[in-house]
Amino acid sequence: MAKIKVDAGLLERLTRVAQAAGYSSVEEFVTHIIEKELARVENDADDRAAAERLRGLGYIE
Amino acid sequence: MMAKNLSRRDVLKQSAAVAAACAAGLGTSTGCREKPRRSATGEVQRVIVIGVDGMDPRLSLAMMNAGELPHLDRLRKRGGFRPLRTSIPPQSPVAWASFINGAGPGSHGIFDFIHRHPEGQCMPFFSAAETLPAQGAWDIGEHRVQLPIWPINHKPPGTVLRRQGVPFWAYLDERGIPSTFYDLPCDYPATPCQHGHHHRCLSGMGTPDMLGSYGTYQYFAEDGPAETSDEAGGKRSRLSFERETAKARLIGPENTSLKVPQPTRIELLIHRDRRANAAVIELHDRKVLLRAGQWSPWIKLDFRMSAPLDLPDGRVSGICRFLLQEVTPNFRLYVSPINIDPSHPAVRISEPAEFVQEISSELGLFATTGFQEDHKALSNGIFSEEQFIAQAQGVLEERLRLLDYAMAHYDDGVLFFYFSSTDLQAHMLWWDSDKKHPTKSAAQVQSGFGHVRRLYQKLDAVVGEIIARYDGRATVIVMSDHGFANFGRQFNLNSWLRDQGYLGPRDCTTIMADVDWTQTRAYGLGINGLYVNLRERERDGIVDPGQKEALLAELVTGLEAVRDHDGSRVIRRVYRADQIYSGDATALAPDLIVGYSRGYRASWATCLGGLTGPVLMDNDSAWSADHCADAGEVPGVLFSNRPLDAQSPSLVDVAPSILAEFGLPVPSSMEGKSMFG
Repeated sequence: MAKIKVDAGLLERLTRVAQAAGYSSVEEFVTHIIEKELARVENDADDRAAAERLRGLGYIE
Repeated sequence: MMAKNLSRRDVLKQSAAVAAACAAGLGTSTGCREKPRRSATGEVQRVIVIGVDGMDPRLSLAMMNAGELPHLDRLRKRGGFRPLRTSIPPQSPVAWASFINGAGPGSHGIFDFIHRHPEGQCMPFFSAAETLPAQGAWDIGEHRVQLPIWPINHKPPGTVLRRQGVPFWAYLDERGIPSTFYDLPCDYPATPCQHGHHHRCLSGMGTPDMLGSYGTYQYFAEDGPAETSDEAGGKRSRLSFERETAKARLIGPENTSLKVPQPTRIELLIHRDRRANAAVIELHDRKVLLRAGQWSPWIKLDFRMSAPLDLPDGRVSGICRFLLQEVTPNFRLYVSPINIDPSHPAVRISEPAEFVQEISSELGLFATTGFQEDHKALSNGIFSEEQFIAQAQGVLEERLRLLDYAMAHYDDGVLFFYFSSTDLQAHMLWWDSDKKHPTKSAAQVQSGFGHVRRLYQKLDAVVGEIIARYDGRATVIVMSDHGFANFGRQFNLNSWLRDQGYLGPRDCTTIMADVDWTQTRAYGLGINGLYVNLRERERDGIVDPGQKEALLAELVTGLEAVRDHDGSRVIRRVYRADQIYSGDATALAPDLIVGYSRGYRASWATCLGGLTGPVLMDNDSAWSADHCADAGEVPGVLFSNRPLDAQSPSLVDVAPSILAEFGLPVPSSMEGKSMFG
């Protein structure tokens, strides 16, 4: 499994929020927010691709 | 097996012989599927519907009065002609869905070419068919594998038909009445047969090409861009010759089984002979020889899709045509959109799935995309107008061969056949007034519009042949979904909303990127739609539901008051969706539908949320005619060989009329009623 470095200040914030939100560990919390952000970016990419396909319709530039 | 070189009249005569033989209980080599359906009085019941997209009643009347449409005029003189009220808005997916359901957009849920999911704010998708991404996968090396089996239940990507409600053929199917549809718009993926095998359909408008788009050509030229560049409807690449040979790559469908999907490619080797003014294109094991100006036949393309582990690579087939536009001084090669191969379709484009292959086994290869005339190539300057007309003529000729097939295989029940020519050619060539065309000379206008008139005459002749064969033996309906008008001036709805303070910030260029939703109470998306940025509906909505009513009233008043620089009224009428649509399928309806005056339409930029400095501008595109105006400005046509009782029939009346011809009651799901006495 890959490792990511974060600075101490960010780690402290992650730990605090993970505990308050009820995550079993900081790792679980970080994994969850990365997955959410990835899904958002991938959905945005799908949406942009859908818009580009629509440009092939003659009615639209 | 029908010989391919029979004339249409020969085919129709042969069909008559087959029908007579069937009626006499004799077998024939062309075969009868079952005994023709007979009414209580013993008559075979047939309804033939010819859909002529965009055929216009004003032009039809003028030509009939001038004696130029004798067959349609004969129907008119028998009481079988009316303008046909179209849908709001008069866009083809909306209109044809209304024809299919016998009811308006509130029943089928299609309100424009473009919809959005409110939870995605304004992100657009094609209204009639939505491609959904895959859900779940296992990563194996470079590949991502979906296992759509229990208990894993991954979902591969797929396209879903978004037209809702009950299509009229379901009621026929229930009674065992056969119906066959060729190139039916707004039925991709094709609706499955519910009650048996009495329904067949070849999907039309909405069917994608192999790239998943609505038609992407590929253009290779010596003066092309160094890196392949994308433009609306196409791709441009440079060809560099070394000792009269150049390499090129055709871009094919994406291999979605890769973790990072990559397009497949096919290598081309192009050998130029300047003296002969010709070239040879090598691909796969084939060599295609073309002279300058020559089209190739349909060519099969074999795309390899790599698979994980030791599984064999997948293969999908597409087809394309090449046009060698120029050999010297600037070598130019056009490649048509890569169509789904009808002999080996990569996705299902007919119901039943094998129907398209049955057709192909007799006709060979033919275009399968929903939009076959390559107007984008003309708009982008790849085609000259003559080349566009030639390509569009090829589409029509292919359709006429399909019509021959349809007639030869028609016994009874409903036959629907669709022509796109009068729509897609009119978009590029129609200009019917003395008003100056934004870009063309008077001579060019006359030449283009003359071509449209000749097209009407050609289709009149086709109708004449059908009437000659089936008059007295079938009810024949010729209909269009809407009419046509010049598109000389374009209105940017989003820019108007910005200027009136409904959309911000002032320097917003597109609602897809740099809009501030906290400053935006309304936005435009699609060709005729306006959406209130409503809280609790839109993801970033700010308008309180209690304020919606007042806002709508304000917008309607403001839009209907818009005037052009010469005082012309830009917008004939603005409709509230909650006042004109009824049914269970209104969830995605815009709040307002803008009905433009004749000569006006939504601007190119505003349809996908773009803003421009000016609100009103000339339309300087080659696409200089349109029908996405107010419904009252662009009715369609309705002709029949039976007198029409209805004085002002509508699109939604056609399906009930068809059911009534077979003695079926009009179901409560339909809004229309029979047009015949």
